Amino acid sequence: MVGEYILEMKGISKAFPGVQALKRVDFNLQRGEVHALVGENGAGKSTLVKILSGVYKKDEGEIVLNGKKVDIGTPQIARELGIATIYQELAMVPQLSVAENIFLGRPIFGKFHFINRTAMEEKAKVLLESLGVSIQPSKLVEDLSIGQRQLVEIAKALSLDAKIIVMDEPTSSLSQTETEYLFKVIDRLKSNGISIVYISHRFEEILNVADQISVIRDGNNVGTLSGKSATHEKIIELMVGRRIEEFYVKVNVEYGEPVFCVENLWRKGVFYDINFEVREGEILGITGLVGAGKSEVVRSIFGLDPLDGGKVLFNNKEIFIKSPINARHLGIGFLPETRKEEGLMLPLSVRRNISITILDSLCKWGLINSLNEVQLVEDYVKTLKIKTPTIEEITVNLSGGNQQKVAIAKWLGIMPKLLILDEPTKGIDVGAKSEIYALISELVKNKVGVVLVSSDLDEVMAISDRLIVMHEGVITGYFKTKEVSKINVLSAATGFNNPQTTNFSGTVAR
Amino acid sequence: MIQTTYQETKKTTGLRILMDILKRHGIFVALIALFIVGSLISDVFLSPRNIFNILRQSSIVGIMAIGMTFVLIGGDIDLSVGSTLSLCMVLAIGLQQQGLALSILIVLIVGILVGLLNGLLVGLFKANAFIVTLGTMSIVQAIALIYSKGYHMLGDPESAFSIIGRGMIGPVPIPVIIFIAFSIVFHIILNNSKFGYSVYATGGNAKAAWASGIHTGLTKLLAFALTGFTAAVGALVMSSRLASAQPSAGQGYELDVIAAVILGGTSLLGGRGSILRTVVGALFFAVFSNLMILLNVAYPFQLVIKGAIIICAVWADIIGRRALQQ
Repeated sequence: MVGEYILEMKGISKAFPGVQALKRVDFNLQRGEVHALVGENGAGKSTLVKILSGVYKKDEGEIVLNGKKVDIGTPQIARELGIATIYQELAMVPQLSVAENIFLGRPIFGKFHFINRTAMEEKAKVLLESLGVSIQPSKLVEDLSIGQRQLVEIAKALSLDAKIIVMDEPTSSLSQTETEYLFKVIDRLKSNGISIVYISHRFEEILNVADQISVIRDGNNVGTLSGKSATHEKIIELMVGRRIEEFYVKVNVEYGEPVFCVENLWRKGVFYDINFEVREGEILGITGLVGAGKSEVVRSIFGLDPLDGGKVLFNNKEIFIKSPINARHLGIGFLPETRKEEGLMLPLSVRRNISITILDSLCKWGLINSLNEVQLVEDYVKTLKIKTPTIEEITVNLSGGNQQKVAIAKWLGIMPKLLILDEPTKGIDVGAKSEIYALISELVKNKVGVVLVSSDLDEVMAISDRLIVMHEGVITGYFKTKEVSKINVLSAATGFNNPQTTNFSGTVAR
Repeated sequence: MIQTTYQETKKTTGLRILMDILKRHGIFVALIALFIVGSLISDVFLSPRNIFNILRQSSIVGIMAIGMTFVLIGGDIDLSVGSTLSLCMVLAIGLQQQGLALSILIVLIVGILVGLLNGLLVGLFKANAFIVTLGTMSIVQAIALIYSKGYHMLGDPESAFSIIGRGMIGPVPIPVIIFIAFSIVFHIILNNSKFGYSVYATGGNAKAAWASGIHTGLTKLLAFALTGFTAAVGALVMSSRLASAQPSAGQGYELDVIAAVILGGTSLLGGRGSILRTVVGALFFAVFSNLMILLNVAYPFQLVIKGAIIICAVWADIIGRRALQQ
């Protein structure tokens, strides 16, 4: 069956106020293939998918489904045409059972028009088994892991007789095993002739799973590669339109004095026996798998979460950080992992988000000097190349990468001695990523100590000077990034004993 | 990319500009429209006497709404201001014998204390503002009833205290001067002080503000204390003007105050709003009531129209938010 097009999108254009999101994009999907869409955030891939699923209306172009021209005016029509979308934030009712969620809005009725739960659960079971999944249909969705919920969503799509399934960043919250499981399910779907449009930022996955890879850049489809011939470098080149060597930016800086040091830090049930130090101009990476406790450590250090014991030294003096307020006064900045929840005040302007940490220094006779404030914020917008119409634009309207730059910019104003970045490049596009790396380089040149928490192994190994690997709340490896291979890091992250661990921390580690 | 194509695709037709202005500044347009209608249907409407009358009528709600603006921008609500008004009024009249300065001082302190209690529970103990202030609304009203023993208290209309509510400087009533002075001072505090910035940040996203090293709990505490203070000032003006106080005088005032703030365009969801908007909101209601009286509209109908206006204001808040988030 492979070879014929189930879907042809021809010359699709779409404009939003302020931006031409798509410019005559062609996109063809074969039956039973996984077709990956990659591109920077804001490149237009989400817009394309939303036109396919009936969320947006196209300005121009036509959509041919199974050889027939169709008009997908609403999500409802898309569903009826057999196009199902599984979004990043899953649309489920957590308090209902798996079966009830699968048949949400179209329950199976029995006698006297009562809902026939048994029939629903049986049908759900058949659907889930066809995916090779064993989840009890009577279980409540709130008791399932994110990965399991996703599988239920896929089962729901099948129950709607979907022929095309769109997956938007399906693995962003999945563990390694769950991801592998999802790929098995995708294989099954393929063999049943279902086509999958797969959006992801993770190249390894895409190279692993995709039959075709289309790269979207600035609203154009700049090329389609076959999964076999594609490489990491080729995709990035197409995405950014330049060569990859410039991607990871790293400068070599002479380290200065130790600026920050923790000894025997622990928090009950979360992490134990954490020891490390950071010197001026040094980038310390902390990595590990999801749930290793790396975020939790830095959150406790910054005063966002409690600590149960241990010693924290800042400039060789013992300090006690009880809240982010203490940390800020000491000159410690922290970029949280969740940009929308803790990183930014989304309804507020770029100006208010950036100046929030430096109100004290902007104050004169109790009042904020607006001229200085505007000057300072505009300087940061310029040097960090934050794309915004004005500094009064509310941050919710900025793209992910630009939002992240705002969230970092606010910490530059305090002239930090230590900056902790928790997953600074998560969910942002390649261009913004490389700009953030350049910014980190700029910081260490100015003798700032940087702690980089990241799950992206390539990133953390390319950027940091030394690397701590965590597994289930304890440190399982100290490495110098120059001397270590990816395999060593991965085995430490998965908890294997690693003989090549080099103890770099001298006096601190034991 | 956004910057280069911004001008090209944004079609700035006259209609769109007009819609944009209406969405973002609807209340200003509505106030002007109300003035035009007023001047057309009534000769006395634009007379200085009537204008100052409107301003004086708006001043009590307006002064209280200034404090409320801080609480709402901070993402909370204060339902207890009506009760605080009642309590402070009976105290102002009841304490008249104790001397002018002392009685005013006590009234202001009591108002601030009520605010501090709300702020302590909401800001530091993280209780829900709606529930907390619903509770204090009841308690404070009860204290007003206990203090006054339920009687309508009469003051001395000849005492110096009456100047606050009845006095004039030139043609301008003193309540209006207090309202204007408060508007200017608190506009500056909201827009240019560290506290004001913290209020916006807390209402914009309390978690992110906390993670940026802002003491969000303290910010909320101060905002509630300020609302208690403005309620007490409102009580001084009102009791002075009436030279009397009923223990239930403030009942329902919290709704008028919140309505004025919301009508001005301060968001119920926090993070957005301004003192200027609140002043315009308070003026709008005063002009509206004045027109209704000039037009001889029956009081129940006035209430219906007023309710409809409040609903429209909340609706406009949602539309306005969408307009900002293209």
